[in-house]
Amino acid sequence: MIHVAGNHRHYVVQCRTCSGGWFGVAQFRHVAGANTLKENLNGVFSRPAADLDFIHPTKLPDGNYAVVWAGVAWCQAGNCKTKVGNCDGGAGVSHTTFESIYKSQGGVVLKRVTKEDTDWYGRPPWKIALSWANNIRKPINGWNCSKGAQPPYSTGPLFGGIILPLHAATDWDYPPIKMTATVYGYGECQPSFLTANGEIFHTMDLTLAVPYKGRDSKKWARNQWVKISNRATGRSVRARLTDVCGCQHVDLSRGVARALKMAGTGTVTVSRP
Amino acid sequence: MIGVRISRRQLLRGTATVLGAAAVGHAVPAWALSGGRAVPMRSIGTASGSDLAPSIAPLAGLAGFDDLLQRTGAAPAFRWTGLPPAPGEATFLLSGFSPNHVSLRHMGLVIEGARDPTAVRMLGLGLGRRPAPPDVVVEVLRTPEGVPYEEAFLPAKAPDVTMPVSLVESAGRRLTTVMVPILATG
Repeated sequence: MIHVAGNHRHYVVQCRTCSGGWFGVAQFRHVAGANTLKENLNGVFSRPAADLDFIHPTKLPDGNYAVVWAGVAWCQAGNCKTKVGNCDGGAGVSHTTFESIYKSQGGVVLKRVTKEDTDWYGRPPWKIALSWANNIRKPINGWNCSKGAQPPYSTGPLFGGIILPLHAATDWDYPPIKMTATVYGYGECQPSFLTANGEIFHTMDLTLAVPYKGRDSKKWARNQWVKISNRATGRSVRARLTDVCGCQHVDLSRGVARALKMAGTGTVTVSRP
Repeated sequence: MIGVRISRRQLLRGTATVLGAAAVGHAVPAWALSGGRAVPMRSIGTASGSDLAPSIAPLAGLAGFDDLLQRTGAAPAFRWTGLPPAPGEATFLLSGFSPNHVSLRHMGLVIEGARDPTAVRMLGLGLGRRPAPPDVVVEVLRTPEGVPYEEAFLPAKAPDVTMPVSLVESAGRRLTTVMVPILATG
């Protein structure tokens, strides 16, 4: 449940916690912004089987940072098949899961970060988007605390999952470096969907994987904000280092690749955010 | 286990995610191999190879999986034989080594078995413990106008638990040891 509290100087969107209290998830200068977030959150929470773990920041094609729900829903019939490790359709093992990952039903932009918001918070838009996402994720922690989005079987051990805020990140502070970049496959194609910092992988979140071995391991420490620029497309995006690979290039989430308008392999510049 | 209904969240929570750097050891004292608690082991996938030296590689991260398959010689012939890593499991790729027993001892995790230069195996080890979820931090910040607001997040530097994992031949010869940080993921 969401409501807006305000004193005409600013407006706060609050979410009810499992313990019955309220937690302020975002502030706005004007009531319109608060109502937009409130209505969109209430809409997502009322969707049957919405997987609320997929509330995270992203950068939209129009260039705005935003907090979104990526449209991931539990498979209500309980018979959805996920092919693990063989997303190319090869001979593999299909597993029944209760989730339908990234269905074509589309996601919901919960709230774009506007110039008014960056002025209010005095922070860059990508940090505001992460802050909003984390503040929403905290009070909705756990399916056992129903917010109206009912998984197919709302009780029992299968749905005792928890939704944690994402990790804080410091600013990357090294000279710019030009690197080859590839784009992640879908997390469902992998044997584990956890990134190296322990987060569930969200395809449209703004994250990337970096090399983890060798003398540059400190440079590529987890949980740092970086700016990724693609000269070929003229686009840039801020993203968090959340994962590692044994490679010497960077591996971008689809959210980052979309923001860069990059498909497949390319060359990017990693720099201070 | 095939055909058992699982949720992705069930799959994820408590899963031990691993990183590591290799170190080579030699003979293991008999006392170090005595006792210990047996650790459940199961096959997740396998690939054939040739002339493979015994080695163990923890899964470095989601993005590193394909690279790891390439490096260990498992790609492109890798085949899944079981469910993906479950909560409380650590996952490794074993190259050139056929495990028959895993135990948790005071020298760390010991995988006993024999050399097998013809196979790469992905192994799930049930460590039997679920690290506690990291504590959520709520910090009070202020807007430029001085209005306080709360911000929730997980600390950027969550502590990792490190554990040595050794491949040991039945005769007691240690073939390799990997230091494995295990992330507390809840």
